[in-house]
Amino acid sequence: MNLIVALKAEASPLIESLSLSREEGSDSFPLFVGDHCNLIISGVGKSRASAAVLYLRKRFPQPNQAWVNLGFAGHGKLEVGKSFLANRVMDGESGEAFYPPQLIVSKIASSSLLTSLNPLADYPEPIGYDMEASAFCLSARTATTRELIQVVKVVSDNPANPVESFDRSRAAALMKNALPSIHPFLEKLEKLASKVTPPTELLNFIEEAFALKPFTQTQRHQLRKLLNQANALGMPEEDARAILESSGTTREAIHELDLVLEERRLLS
Amino acid sequence: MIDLIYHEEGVLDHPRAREVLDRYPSATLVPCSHYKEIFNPNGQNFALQKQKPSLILARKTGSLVHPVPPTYGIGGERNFYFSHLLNCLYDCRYCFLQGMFPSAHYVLFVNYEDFQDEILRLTQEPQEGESWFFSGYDCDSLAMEKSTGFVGSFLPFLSETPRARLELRTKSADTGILESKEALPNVVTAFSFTPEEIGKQLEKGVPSVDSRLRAIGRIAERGWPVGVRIDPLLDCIDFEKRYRDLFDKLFPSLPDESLHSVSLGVFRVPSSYFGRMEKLHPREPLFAGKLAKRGDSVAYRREIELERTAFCREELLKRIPASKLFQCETNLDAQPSP
Ligand code: SF4
Repeated sequence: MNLIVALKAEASPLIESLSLSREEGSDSFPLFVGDHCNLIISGVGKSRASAAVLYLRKRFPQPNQAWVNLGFAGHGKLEVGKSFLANRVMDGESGEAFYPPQLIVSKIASSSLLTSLNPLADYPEPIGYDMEASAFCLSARTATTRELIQVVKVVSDNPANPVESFDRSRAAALMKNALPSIHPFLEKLEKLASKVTPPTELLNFIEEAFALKPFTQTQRHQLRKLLNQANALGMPEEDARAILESSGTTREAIHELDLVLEERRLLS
Repeated sequence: MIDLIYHEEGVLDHPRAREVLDRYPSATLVPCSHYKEIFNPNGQNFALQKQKPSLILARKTGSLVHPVPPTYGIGGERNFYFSHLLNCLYDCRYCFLQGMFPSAHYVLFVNYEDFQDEILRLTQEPQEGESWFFSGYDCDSLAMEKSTGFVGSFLPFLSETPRARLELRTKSADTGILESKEALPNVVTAFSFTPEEIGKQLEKGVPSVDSRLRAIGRIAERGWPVGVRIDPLLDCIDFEKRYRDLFDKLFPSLPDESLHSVSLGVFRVPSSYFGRMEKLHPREPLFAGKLAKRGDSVAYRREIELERTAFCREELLKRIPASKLFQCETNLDAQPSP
């Protein structure tokens, strides 16, 4: 999972609770990594958020990961400290809207969010207001499927507690208090992401099979397809490996595997 | 359970949209300019969305009723389809919707009156023979009745428009709406079946064969014409036994006078859809079956298709008159490859 957070104060409680450690040498953005999670501190604003996504995508190019923009937002209605999931993210400048699919059952409230270049002076509608989310959504689309791109915000200010009155020294505490409701959401999102990621064992086996013989690029495509099918049809890996090893040329190996699979190509 | 409803701005003025909202009082409402903003973008994963689709309320504009290819149908001279709903409550692994649509959200077009106007116009055109309208191309016609009120809204219209014939294609066993109304001779409820063993593997959420049979019994008793759709034919272990058992179960319990038609349909999916389906479910045994690219479609290899279809045809003809059996003809092999 990749987390994009604008400010250090927002990120600190997350870094601590997810046991992330600072990666040395990541000079463009402060980057924190853990077993299943990377967190980048993007800085404030749309262009910083976009750049952080692109940086992280380059650094961790695996497809189908979950991407979350997490941080503070103003809100026209929700109380300070309350977290919400953005069900619609509108870009204040381009007018473009994103609709992160809401597949996860969560206790977190759901709200529209408007992202703008400059902080707004008031809260004209009962929605959220931030400065990163739309750019995050736009950039993250190039990295993963839309269901795995989510925006979670914690309300830092509202009409009764305008942004000017926000006490920055309380920022980390505000985020920390919100985490018990945010963590279960992140866990479920991670689970969702695992559903679209092929099992590592199969990927490893396919790589291993490629190394058995000097397959051409086209043959690799054919072999990948056959090995996926072998897996679907319940053929044990050792049987597939034995066929590939015992056959002569690369062409023969593919042909043999196809022949053996033929008997299995029936629904049970 | 629907807990998020997107709606086109302005659509909430429509009484049907209000009725739908009344059924989901705690749903979060999210406005959009056009349903395609949510439904059409690329980079969505149909299989993930299928876990918890949202509902989109929209108004259908442009062309509302479309002709279907001449080789499809159940004996009518003119055949049309229309889609008041995109996507389905169930999740059949062979369903082409997952290859055709980028999103699994349900799109409900609330302006049924416009579909009805168009149907009326088409039935009033000078014509020979019957006009059939198929409502279950992009959805299951009955499965979401409690949310859509589609059948309830169309029955009064069809009772006053006897020249229009409607096929409700379904795998649902919830036939309450039909049981509560007077039967109409121009509305055929057509139930699709595959053998139980196949259904358990590939048809998530679909009621059992037995419960659908009971539903057929209930509406047949009320005088509604029913159809049986053996579609798609799926090659499997014990194919002959499984299909024979299915037919043995289906037909003795169906009163002859209620049986309107039986049709046989092969498994065939446009290649581009199939590619997407395979990508969504790369480890699905069905897609690793004895399939071949035939013309612009993917289907069972020709010899398998011919053999399986011939077997089912022969078995069906032992149980029903030839006049009631229809086969969706395909001439896939004659199509040029791209
Ligand atoms: S019932 Fe029909 S429309 Fe619904 S998922 Fe199955 S095949 Fe598709």
